[in-house]
Amino acid sequence: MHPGARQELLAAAARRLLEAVLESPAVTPADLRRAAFDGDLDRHTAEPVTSYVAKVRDHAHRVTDADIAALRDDGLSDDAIFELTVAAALGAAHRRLVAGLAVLDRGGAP
Amino acid sequence: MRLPEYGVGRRPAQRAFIAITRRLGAEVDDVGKVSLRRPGFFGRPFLALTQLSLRGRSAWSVGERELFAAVVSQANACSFCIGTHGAIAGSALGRPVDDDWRDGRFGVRATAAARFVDILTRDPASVDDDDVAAVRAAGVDDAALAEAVYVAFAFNTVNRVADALGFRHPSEGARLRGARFLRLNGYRIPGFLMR
Repeated sequence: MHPGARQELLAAAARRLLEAVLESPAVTPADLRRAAFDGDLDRHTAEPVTSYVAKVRDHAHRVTDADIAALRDDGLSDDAIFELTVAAALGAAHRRLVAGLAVLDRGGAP
Repeated sequence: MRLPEYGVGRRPAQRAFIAITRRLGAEVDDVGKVSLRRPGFFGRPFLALTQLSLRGRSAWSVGERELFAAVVSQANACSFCIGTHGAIAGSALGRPVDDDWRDGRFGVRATAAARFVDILTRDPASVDDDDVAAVRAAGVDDAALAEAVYVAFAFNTVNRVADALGFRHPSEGARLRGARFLRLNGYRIPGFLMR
């Protein structure tokens, strides 16, 4: 398989994941998932969701049981917590995908 | 697992699948369980990307791509994912993935690409032409490096989900059996379970 064709397959698989998480029908509104993905929640929601999303994006290994309990106390269901977690995680990962591919494009062919 | 409902399957077939894998001593792990719970939202597209990036045809061996997964997991301090993918890479490449992975034991090309995804994971804004030039100088072409970047995309996602939701291996034996199973079989779950 030509390397370019393989990269197109990877790009298509990445797009399908982004579409599923950001656009498919779910418990949380799509605009809230998009905000968690972008790390720009202030206009959409308040604590404890904003802090949780920032933690997932920036240092997820520091999330504790208490963080999840605070989301439940705030009325979030397990489905909502899962969706916001995945959206935040995917956003942080996508930032790295874009950065990695951009520097390759800028560098041109070897 | 901090979302207990996500650990048990939603439909009877999924619950039976989890129970059977447990009885066989290779219980489907927490990534598999949340994939079964939310197949449309997450499981199908995530596992498809993982299977393609880690097991599809590639400029890299399976062991080298698992090394990239382990290095990204280490940069994110995700002990759950290091436990699985460090073990797969270590067994496939015949050398352990530990804190000294940069010492050349994995060869010039794989080490250079692993360094790149390590920097990209820790500080994406800092990645620049010099980082790419260092990888090219090691004999890695841009298409091969792009493949490593997609592995990093998948693992920067799942590392965060695993840590935030408290994924755990039930035992050391289960972790190693799971790693062996994934090395041999990849990241596919039968389609009838993923509806």
